[in-house]
Amino acid sequence: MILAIDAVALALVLATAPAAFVWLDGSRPSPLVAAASASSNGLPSPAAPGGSGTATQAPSAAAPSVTPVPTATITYGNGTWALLLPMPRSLWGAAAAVLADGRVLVVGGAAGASSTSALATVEVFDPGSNGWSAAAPMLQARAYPAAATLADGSVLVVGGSRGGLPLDSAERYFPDTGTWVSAGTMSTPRTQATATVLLDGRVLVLGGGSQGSPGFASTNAAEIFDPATGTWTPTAPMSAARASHTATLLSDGEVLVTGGASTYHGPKGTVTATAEIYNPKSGTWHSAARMSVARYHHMAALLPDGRVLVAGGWALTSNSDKSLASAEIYDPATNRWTATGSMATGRARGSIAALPDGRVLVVDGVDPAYHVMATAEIWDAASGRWHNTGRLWTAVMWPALAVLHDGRVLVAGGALDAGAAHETSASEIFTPPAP
Amino acid sequence: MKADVPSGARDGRAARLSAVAFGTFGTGLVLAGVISIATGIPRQAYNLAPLAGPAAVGGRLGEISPLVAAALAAVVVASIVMMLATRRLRPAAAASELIALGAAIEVCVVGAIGRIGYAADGSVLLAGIFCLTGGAAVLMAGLLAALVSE
Repeated sequence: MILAIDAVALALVLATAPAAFVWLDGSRPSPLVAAASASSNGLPSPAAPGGSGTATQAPSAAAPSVTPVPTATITYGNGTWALLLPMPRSLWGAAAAVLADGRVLVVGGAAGASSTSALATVEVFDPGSNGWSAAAPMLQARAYPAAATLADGSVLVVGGSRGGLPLDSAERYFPDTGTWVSAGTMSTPRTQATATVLLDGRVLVLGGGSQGSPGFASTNAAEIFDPATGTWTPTAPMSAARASHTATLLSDGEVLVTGGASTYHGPKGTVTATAEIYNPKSGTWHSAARMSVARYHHMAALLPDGRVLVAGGWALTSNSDKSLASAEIYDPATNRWTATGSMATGRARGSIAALPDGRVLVVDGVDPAYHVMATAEIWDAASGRWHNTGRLWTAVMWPALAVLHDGRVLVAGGALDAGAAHETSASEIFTPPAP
Repeated sequence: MKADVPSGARDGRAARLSAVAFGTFGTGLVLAGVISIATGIPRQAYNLAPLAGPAAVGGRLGEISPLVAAALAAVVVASIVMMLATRRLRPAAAASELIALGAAIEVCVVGAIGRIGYAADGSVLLAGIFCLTGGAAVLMAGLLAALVSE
């Protein structure tokens, strides 16, 4: 009798394995049509990925050694997402900068829901091998910093927050030596700020959250870093305090700033629809036309014709506000905003990339129901419409994104839920479909 | 002359042995799966970087808590199985413990399956299957222990 029961029990236990396999195999994102197939975009062919040791690689100095890693290509409808081995660690809220040699630096970020888990780590992506390695850590841990690649090839990282407090420090990474050097102290601490490289090589740093708990207030302060002298100089402030705004270098060298919130954390702030333009030659601001709706945590990209596309974001700091699907275009020549097609769904805290061919890609983010999304959409200037370009493997918000020199787009890390309770080390690379 | 052994007692011994065997099998599978996922050997989970060492467990507890919970449950299963084998625990109590722990392991593993169910190339990760199957074996061990006559 017991033997019969044993046999049944054993059969049930052993049946668990194939049943689980079938369940997992069928539970991939539905648009997946081909997994682990031979690469068609020049990436290494997939192979059995062993423990690559990416999590234990010691920080290296100058050019970090990179172990080529296998990838798998996944084709979703149009465009191709290639899975890469993960970064050495999970993070979100990092900044990315493309080096002159094509490698991508992912700096800082957080390994938890707040800046108490801010990271000083630096991950380097090598597009040649599609591999990750660790570089020398920053001098200071920074969640939500801003980063910019300077004309001399160095990378400036400014602000961010640590332990709940915005930072006023800045540092500079020199790829030739693989070292970080202090870049001085700003006049105002700031997190979730922007850093824009001007045509003359200087860096304009704008806004961001400047105060910690309980107010979490943003600042309107603006200052300029001069790489030649390594000094910070305050410049005229913006008309409004802004955090989680956008700053876009226009074709004529001016900088367009849009939206932002008066606080960078919590539901008590106000979000603005205003926009303004900074003239680096005169060091002055002049107002631009207002957007149709207030936005923060939105996305902006410069179009080849000199206009600026702005999409998504939230209109209120309320925790129940639904992310916006709308998009609009600012024309500096006419100082007017024009509505363009809306995205398929609302999207805030996503990432945006201006593709070399003029199209614009948005990925990931938070949808109106406060779920993180794995979708990606491409805006086509010819039609003024958004086209779904499939899904990423992992749904995240606030990933690090960089457009590689060869036109591919790297998406790495991000928070796995809107509350950022978990983050990921996942990285994927996107090869855009033909226009 | 050989004494007759009541058939109920024979079944009880067999059920105890079966429960111990299934419990041991399940514990081994769960621990093997968890260790494989945590070390990335032989294959790395797609969405979970391997631990740099034992010291990294504390720093990444939030990320790997389901795995840690499943491993701890498996360790407790091993001790219960040992007590059941040495008759230091009533079978009925062992049964309820094993069923609860088996269910806990399954819940932990299924909850984390998005991170540990797939390998870096997108294929199904065998270590995740090990964990699920191990949890099922522990559940079966509990059901079998319930058949053990006192």
